[in-house]
Amino acid sequence: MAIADPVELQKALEQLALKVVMLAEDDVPGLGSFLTHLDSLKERFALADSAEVGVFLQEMEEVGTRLVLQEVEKAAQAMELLNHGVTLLLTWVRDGQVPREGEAWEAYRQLCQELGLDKREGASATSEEVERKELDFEDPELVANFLEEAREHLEGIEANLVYLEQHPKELEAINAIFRPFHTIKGVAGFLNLSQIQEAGHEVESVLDEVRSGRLPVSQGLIDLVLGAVDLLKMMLADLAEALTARRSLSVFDLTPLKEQIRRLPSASDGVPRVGEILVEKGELAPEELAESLAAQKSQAAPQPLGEILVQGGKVTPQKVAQALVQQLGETRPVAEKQVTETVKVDVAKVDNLVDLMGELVIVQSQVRQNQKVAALNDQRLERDLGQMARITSELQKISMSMRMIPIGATFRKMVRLVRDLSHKTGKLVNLRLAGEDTEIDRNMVEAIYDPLVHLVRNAVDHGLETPERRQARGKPPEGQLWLRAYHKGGNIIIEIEEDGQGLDRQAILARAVERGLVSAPEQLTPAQIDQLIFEPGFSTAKVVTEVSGRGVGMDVVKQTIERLRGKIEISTRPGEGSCFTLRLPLTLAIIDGMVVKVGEERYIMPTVGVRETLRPLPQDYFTVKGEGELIRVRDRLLPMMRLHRLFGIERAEVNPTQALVMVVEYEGEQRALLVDEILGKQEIVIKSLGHVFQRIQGLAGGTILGDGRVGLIVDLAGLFQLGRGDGHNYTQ
Amino acid sequence: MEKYIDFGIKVLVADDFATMRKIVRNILKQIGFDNIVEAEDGLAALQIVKQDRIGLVVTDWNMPNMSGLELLEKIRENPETKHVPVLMVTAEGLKDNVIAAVKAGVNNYVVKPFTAETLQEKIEQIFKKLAGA
Repeated sequence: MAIADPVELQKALEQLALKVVMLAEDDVPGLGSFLTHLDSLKERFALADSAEVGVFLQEMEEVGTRLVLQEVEKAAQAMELLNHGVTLLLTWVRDGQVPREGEAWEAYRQLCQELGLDKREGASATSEEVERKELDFEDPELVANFLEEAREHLEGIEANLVYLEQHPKELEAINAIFRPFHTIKGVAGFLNLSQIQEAGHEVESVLDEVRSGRLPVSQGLIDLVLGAVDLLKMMLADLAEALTARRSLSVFDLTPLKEQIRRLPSASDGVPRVGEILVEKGELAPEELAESLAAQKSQAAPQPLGEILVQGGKVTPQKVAQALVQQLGETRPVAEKQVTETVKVDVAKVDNLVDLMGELVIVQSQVRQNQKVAALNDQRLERDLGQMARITSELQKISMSMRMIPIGATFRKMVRLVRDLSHKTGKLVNLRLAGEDTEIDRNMVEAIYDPLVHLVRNAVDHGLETPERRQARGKPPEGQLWLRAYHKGGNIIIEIEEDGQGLDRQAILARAVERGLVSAPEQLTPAQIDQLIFEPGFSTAKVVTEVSGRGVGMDVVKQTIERLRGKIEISTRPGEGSCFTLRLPLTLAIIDGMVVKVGEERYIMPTVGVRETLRPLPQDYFTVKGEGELIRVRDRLLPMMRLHRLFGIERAEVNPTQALVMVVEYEGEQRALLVDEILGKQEIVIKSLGHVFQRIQGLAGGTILGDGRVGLIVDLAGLFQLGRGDGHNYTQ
Repeated sequence: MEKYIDFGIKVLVADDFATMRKIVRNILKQIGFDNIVEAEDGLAALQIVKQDRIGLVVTDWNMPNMSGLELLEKIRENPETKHVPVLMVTAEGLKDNVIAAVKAGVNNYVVKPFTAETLQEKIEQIFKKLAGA
C-alpha cells in the first residue's frame, strides 16, 4: 500500500513512539492520549483503509483499551507490545512497504493472543474483581436518604413514562427515565441492596436497548417499566420497614420481570418507514409510494427509497432528509433547568423557626401597642417601629415559605393514576397539568392527596365518557382532564376539570328522593341539586365500577377538605363537563379566627365555621324538654351550647339576651354558641398545646394574642360532639 | 504514599443523586479530604470549576443538563481550567464510556461500586502522575 504522506506519518509515529516509551501501565491520561493519537493517525493518514494495517492498528488499540480497563494480567508485557507495535509501524513507514507477507503483523497478533489480548476473544474477560464494600450499612441515615431520593425518582420516572407513551419518539424522555434507574442501581450497589440493584440493572439494560433504537417504545415496554417501578417501590417500602424494624430485607422474585423482558418484541417494525412519513405529511401520494416501492423491488441492487423518489422527481431531496430526521426521532431541546442551590434542613428546625417567628410578630405588636410607648409620642420611634413591623412580617412570610413545597410532585402521582384508570376503563384521557410550581404547606400536601385521588378517579370513571359515546355526541374521542393549581387571595386553588358528560341532575335528584335526602325536589335550584352529591350515603353510578368502587363517596372528600379548613365547589354543564374547585388555606399553621370573650377567657373561633352572630330577643329563646335550650334564628330553631358551661368558666354572661350568639356550622350541622362578646377578627398562628393537653376535646390549639394573653382555639368538630354529649368531657 | 496527595485541596463532587454525593463525600472524608463541595449536575459543576479553585473533580458520568463527559470536555477546552484533574465515576459494564472519557483526557476513572481503598488508589495515581513521579 502506498503511504499518502510518509514524511508526516513518520513524524507522527515518532511522536507516538516517544509517548509509548514514557508510558506507564497505570497512567490513565497517558494511555488516553496514546489512544487519541492512534485515532488521529488513522484518520489523518487513512490507515484504517488498508486491510493489513487497519487490523493491526485495531489490535494495538485493543491492547491500549484493555490496559485502561485493567483487564490485562501481564501489564508490563502489554506495554512492551505497544512499544513493539509502534516500532513495527515505524519500520513499515521507513521501508515504504508492508513487512513481507505481513509476517511481522502476524507475529504481533500471535503475541496478543498469548497474552489473552486478542480482539476477537470477546471483551468479557475481566481480571478486576469488584469487591463489594460493606460501606457503613450501619449508616441508616444514608439509607433513609436513598429511600427518599429513590422514591422521588420513581415518581419522576412514572410521569416521564406516561409522557413517553404519548410521545414515543422523544429520546429525551427515554433518557430522563434511563438516568434515574441508572442512579438507583448505582447507589443500591454501594448500599449492598443487591436485589434493588439487580432490578434496576435489568430495566436499565432494556432502556439502553430502547435508547439505541434496538427496541421500539411499545405498550408492552411501558407496562413493563411501570411494573418494574411498582416492584422497586415495594422493595423500597420493604427496605424502609426493615430499616425501622431492624430486620433483614425480604427476598423478591425477580423472575417475572426478567421473563417479561425476555418476551419484549425486539423487532424494529416500530420505526415508521420514510415513505410512510412522507405520505403522512402529504408530500407523497400513496400510489406514488407504491410505484416507487415496486421499482425498488425490481432492482437487482436495491437503491434506497429516498434516492428513487428524488430521481423520479416525486419529492425534493430536502423533504427526504426531513423525513429521515423525523424517522430518527424528533428530539426536543430540554428546557434548561434553573440551577438552584439547596440545603437540607431538619423539618423540626423549620417548624421551630416558624413558631418563633410567630411569637416575634406578636411581641412586636405588643411593643407597638404598649400604652407607654404610644404616650411617648416620638415620631422617630414610631417610624422605627413601623419599619420593624414590616421586616418582621416579611421574615414571617419567608419562614413560612420554607415549609412550602411545590404541588408538582402530588400532581405527577396523578399522571400514573390517570394512565392506569384510562387503561382499566378503556377511556382515552389526555391529562394536562398546570401550575405545578404552586407552593403549598408540606403538611397540606399529604392531607390533600387522598381527596385528590378520589376526585381524579371520579372524573375519569364518572365524568368522562367512552370514546364511542364521545364520538356519538360529536366530541373528540379523547377526553380532556385538567389539573390546575394557583394562588388566589391567600388560598391555594386546585381545579379538577374534565370535558365529560357533566352531572346528571335528573339521576341525582331521583337518587336523593329515593334516599330520602330531599323532600321537595321541585324547589331545588340546579346548584343545590349539584350539592346533593356531597350528602353522606350518596352514590349515583348506576353500576358500581371497578375503579371508584362503592367505598367512600364525595361526602368524605368534602369532610376532608373542610377539616383542612377548605371548601369544595362544583360547576357543571350537562354534556360539556364538570369542574371541581378546591379552595384551601396555604398553610395549616395559620387560621383566620374570630376572637371571642367568655368571662375572663379568650377563645378563637375559626372564621370558616362562623355563619353569623346575633343577640337574641327574649322571644327567640326557648327551652324544650329533652332538647335543652334552643334559639330561633331566621325561623329555624338551633340548639344552643353555652361555651362557659362547656369549659367551666366563671363570671360569664349567662343571659342569652345580654350576650351574643354565634351561629357555627360543621359538616352541615348548625349550632348556636353562646359567648360574651366578639373582640375582633385576626390571623392566628396556631400553637400546639403540647403533649399533655393534646387530647382535650373541643380545643384545637392555642395562640398568643396581641396583648400577650393566651387564646384557646375552638375545634368545632369536638365541640359539637361535646354538645351532643357523646364525647368525653375534658373535666373528667 | 501520602506525600503525593494534598488533602488540603478542594474536591468537587458532581452527581445528580444526593445519596451518591454523600457516599462519595463519606469515602473522600475517610481518605482524608476535608474540603468538599458538591454540584448536582454538570452545568453547576462547570460553574464551580470556573469560579472556584478546585483541586480535583470527582464526577459521575450520567447527569442531567450536562453529562460527566461533556463536563470533562468543557474543563479541558478552557485554558484556565484544563489542568484541573478529573476523576470519572462510571457504572459497571460501560466500557465504552470509560474509553471515551479516557480519550477525552480524564485523569482516572473508577467503577461503581468502589471501595475507599480503590478510590484512594485512583486519586493517588492522579497526583503521583501530576507530581511527575
